[in-house]
Amino acid sequence: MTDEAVLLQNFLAIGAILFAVGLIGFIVRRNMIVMFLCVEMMLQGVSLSLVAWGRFHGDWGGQMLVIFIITVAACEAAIALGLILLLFRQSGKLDIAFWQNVREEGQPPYVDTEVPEEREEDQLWPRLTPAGIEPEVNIEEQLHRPRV
Amino acid sequence: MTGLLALTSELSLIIGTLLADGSPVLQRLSLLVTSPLVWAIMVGAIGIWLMLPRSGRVGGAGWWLSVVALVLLLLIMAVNPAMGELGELVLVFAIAACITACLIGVISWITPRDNFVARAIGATLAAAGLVLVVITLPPLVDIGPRILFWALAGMTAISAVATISMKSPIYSALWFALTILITAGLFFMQGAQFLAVATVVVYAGAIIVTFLFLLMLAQPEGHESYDRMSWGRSASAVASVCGVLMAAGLAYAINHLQYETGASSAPAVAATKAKDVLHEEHVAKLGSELFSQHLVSVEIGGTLLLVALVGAIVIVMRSRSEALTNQSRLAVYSNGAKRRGVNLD
Repeated sequence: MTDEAVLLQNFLAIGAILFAVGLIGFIVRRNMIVMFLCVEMMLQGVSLSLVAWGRFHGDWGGQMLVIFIITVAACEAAIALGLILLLFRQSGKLDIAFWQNVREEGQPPYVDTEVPEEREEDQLWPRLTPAGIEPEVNIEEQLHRPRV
Repeated sequence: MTGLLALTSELSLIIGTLLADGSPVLQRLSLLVTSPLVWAIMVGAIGIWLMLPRSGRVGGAGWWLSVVALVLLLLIMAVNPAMGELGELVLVFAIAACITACLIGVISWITPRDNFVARAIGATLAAAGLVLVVITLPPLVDIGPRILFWALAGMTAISAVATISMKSPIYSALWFALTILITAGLFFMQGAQFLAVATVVVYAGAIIVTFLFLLMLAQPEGHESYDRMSWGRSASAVASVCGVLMAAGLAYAINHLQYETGASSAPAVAATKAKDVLHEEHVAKLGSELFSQHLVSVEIGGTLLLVALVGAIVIVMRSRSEALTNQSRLAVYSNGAKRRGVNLD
């Protein structure tokens, strides 16, 4: 087996792994933004496979297709984020389960049976290093901070 | 999908063999136990499942479902003799993985799931699954590209799994950014320089926008409940098993690829094209191809971008006008009127 064929197989494998992981995430996660990221990840897996095939056959078809995939992904991102913002304004949540009232007639509703408790040690947030002069905090403004 | 079709067709075959006679089945079972792909599937599925956020304690149903699916998969894999060829090291690895997986299964079944230990164990198992997948792949000839590829591929897989398993969506976005960066590195390795740069530029913008969205929409009270769990009890188990089965189907198809491509004419065809893809003036060649052969597609793509831009603006504008109810409209109006010194009464 030639080295090119080996390269093709390896890249196809990693593309398949990316696609499958993105699929699992799309099914399992309920946060709309994370679901959107998972879709992008699936597209990346496909792009890797296409580029590998293009290299193997020595023509530009694979790379051309990936360029158009990136174009469509950009359109998709614009529309998806607009829709997410729209849905968030109506529900105040990013939870996709909130929108189950558009389900088919006769389907039983999905109800959360057990909600896990939030623990103290889970409250880890990214920290930014402070820079510059700390601005004066207006407490009234913080209380009336609009939610989008 | 071809892989899954082949898997299903061979499922009927193995059932027929099981009914016919006994001795080859035993032989196949021994091949099966020593197959790294099978262990990769098993360990990977359990590992990803353990890492995903779930609701509380998962009952026995999801666990037994995954066990049944994996046993089924083992039976299917038994008919593929190519999977059985491996060295002693892999055999030791497989047995160790088996014992570990059994222990972990028992331990994590009796302990509450949503804790650090389960996630750490899940990470270990998923990494072991990844290693086993790597073992099944044929290695590149040169040591340099081989190490580079495995390092990049490993980091991609790790950051991808981290993306879907982080509770906080902000961390998910950061891990996804890492995934994209490493994918760009893989593009470079394939000689697709323009695509690598374009991926970084386009997705870097997309990730920053997503990040801003998260900062804007995230609630200050802590993790939302929907970030800490999934759909019901066994959804994440079923999803893990299905996803890993799909990856297995694809890997199965890719493993069969070597028989077809080994003696086929594809490399010869590639040689006659003189490796146009790896030409020195990469972007010039790519541009000439793009704007000569794919001109219509470029035009359509540009139109699509314009339409999406307009569409996104329309969606957001409409939601804003709907959000302003009559009352708030009146409030806005009266505020503005007061500021201008107009008396509404």
